[in-house]
Amino acid sequence: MLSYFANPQRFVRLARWLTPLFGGGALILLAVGLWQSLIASPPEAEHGETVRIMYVHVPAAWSAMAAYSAIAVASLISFVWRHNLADIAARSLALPGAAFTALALITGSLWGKPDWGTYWQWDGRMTSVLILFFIYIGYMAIWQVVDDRKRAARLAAITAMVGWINIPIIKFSVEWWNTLHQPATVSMPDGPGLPAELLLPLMLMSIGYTLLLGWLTLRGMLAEIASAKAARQTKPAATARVEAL
Amino acid sequence: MITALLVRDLKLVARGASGAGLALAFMALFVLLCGLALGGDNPDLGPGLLWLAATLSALLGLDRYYQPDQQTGALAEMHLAGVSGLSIAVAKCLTIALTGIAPLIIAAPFLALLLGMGGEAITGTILSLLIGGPAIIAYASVTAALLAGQRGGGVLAVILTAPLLIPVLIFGTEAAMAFPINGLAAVQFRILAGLSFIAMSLGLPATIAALAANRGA
Repeated sequence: MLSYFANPQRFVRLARWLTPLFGGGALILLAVGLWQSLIASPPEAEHGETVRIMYVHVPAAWSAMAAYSAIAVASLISFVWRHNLADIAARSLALPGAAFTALALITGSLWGKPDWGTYWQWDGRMTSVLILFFIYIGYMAIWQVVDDRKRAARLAAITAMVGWINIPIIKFSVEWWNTLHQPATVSMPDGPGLPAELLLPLMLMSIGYTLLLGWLTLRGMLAEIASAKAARQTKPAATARVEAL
Repeated sequence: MITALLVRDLKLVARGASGAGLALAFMALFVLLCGLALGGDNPDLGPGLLWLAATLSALLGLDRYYQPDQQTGALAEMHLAGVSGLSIAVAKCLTIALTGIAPLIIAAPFLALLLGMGGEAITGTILSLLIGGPAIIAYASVTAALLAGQRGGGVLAVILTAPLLIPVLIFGTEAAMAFPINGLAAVQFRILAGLSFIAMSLGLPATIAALAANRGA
């Protein structure tokens, strides 16, 4: 599998086919999910109407962490096997991941105001997600400043793997510290702690967000491969022109 | 081998090859400005301010550690001479500890007096800086190694290191605050020590890998 897709052309053929699938799927699921979560589903007993923020907040936070974990795994693959697509994948995941992190932080603070009476609290969960946002920024900055692409890929991979230490901190922050943020409700040993009518829109939105992340990443990877190809092709053309003159 | 490298680094620092004194001046100025901006004595804010001052000062001069050795080719020479990456990283971490962090910790009690802190609070802050110091050193070493080939990566160094140091900063300040009540038995000191161990176990391999990547391997 790893070596099969080491050939960018093979990957591009698959991605051309997968990208519209992801994009269309995200569009449909997000449309149905938004209708479900904002209009069709009932308000929750404790939170009232503000529970509707959950449907955009929770999937964003999940996607942000999933994107970072994917960056870390892709970085490991790129670092150990020098897989030429893995670092492209990691790089393309960074911007959508950072956007999802920002979305989770913004929607979270908008939800915090009506529910907890404050936009921001320096508790474990919120602080660690904010740290995740800055780690994303640092990761993207490495790609920006290092000119040599190969060196940038390796340095960025090291940065991403060191920064992964933050992901378990985010996951367990609600258990390690007494926080305002509620602990995990969906993945509990005795089944999800959410009634079905609330769980359905949440799941629709989560799958929609994941597909959106996949779509953005694939688009980014295709663009990266195309621009690398374009960069390779312009050079011989330039020398040919010099020779012709 | 580590001793030889360390002696070389210390000699370079002693001959004024780096801005070790600059970090110290920055820290003093930072505390002075904080004292002025916050209006005189703020003993309660003291541990936090000192931690902030020490962390920022330590991060400001990161480009003086691996970058000169990378540019002069000294790192490549060491690699060709068969010096292991671990020796280089450990020696450099000791250099950071002795010339980067130690002066800041020594200066901290005097700056604490400017903020009007009491004896116990000062002791707690120094102890928490000593226990959390290895974490600062380890992450500083990683960032310095990552940016060894980069000129003018000063701001980027802070952006890369600061997120990793946030937990250290939180528990360092909390440990310093808890010292007058619970002494060294405060749970925050143990968490701080744990963070230092995690940082070192992550930092050394990452430093070695970053140096190898910058060598082009």
